[in-house]
Amino acid sequence: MSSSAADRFTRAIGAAIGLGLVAALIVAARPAGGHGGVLPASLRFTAVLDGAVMVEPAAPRPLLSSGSMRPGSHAGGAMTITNQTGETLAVRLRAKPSSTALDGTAQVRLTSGGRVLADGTLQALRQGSAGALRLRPGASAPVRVLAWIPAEVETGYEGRQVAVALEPVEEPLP
Amino acid sequence: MRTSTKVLLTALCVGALGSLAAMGVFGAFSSTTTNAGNTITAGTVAIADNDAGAAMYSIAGAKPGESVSKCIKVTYTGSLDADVRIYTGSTIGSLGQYVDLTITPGTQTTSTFPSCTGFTADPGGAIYTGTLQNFGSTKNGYANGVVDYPGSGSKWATNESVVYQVTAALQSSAPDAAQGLTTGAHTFTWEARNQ
Repeated sequence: MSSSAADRFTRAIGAAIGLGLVAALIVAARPAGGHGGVLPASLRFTAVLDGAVMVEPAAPRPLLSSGSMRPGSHAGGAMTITNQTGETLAVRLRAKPSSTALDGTAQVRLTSGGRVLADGTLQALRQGSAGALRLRPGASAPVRVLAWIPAEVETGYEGRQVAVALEPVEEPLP
Repeated sequence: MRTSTKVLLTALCVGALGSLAAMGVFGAFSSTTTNAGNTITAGTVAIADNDAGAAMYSIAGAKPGESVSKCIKVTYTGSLDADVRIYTGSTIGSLGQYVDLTITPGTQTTSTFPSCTGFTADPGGAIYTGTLQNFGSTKNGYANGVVDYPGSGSKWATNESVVYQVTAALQSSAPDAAQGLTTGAHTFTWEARNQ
């Protein structure tokens, strides 16, 4: 290698090292993020009373308090619904969330005695459960509530806290 | 290239790259404060019963001394503390003067409209005793309605309920002139207003 070729080679190596050091300095100088982790979501379900049915536990006592929820987290709760009228009723349950923050993210399943009344997003439950409880006068039925954030969810849940009121909707049956 | 030129170019490069690094360092120092999410949401006043639209009583061919006793559960579901008063907005027919009406608040282990099975009257007893006609003429609106609260309280709070036993009896002393008369259809109203 001639002396001029060796000189150019040395300069190139030096320039590369210098650029690398400056790049490292710039990267190291970036400000840190606002928080190191990701805040969890939380869901709180309460049951709303009306005149026709008695619900236990009724608001303000929660039937489900999820605590910290992240993708893959599940939370469960239960309530009992009693028909107080003199008519046989079909009782559906409708969700009234405090916000839309977890509408498309949180999944909710309502079951009673092994029968699925609703299974879908929190948003879908705003329209009411597909299935209904059939309650004779004075009859009671348990309802189990399962809420979860699917494991494959990557974003859209962080730090979101939603209170969900479950409202009974009755229809007299012949 | 002369040495002085090289030194100058080197100084320029170092200065430029140093400026970039300085932007990364000093650009992070900023601060804001906000007051977000301001909102006002009105409270609610809501009251409901368990009659599912059915009447408490409907008697045809009532005889003197015949009575009916039915129970209705009234539940307050509003978020605001409230007063509740009971009245009728109906015009009572001429048989009303011979019908004794009693309204007694209480509790019930399991309510199933209109059954009074398991009904226990509150210690204070009846909140109205008189003829149906008198009820219609003196308790015909919120202003003069019968006031009642759950238990010994002074307000209706969310999810509180009271079972009312309503007893109507055709007086055993009803005269012959009462034959064929009717009270007409009448409605009992429980009205809640926030405190």
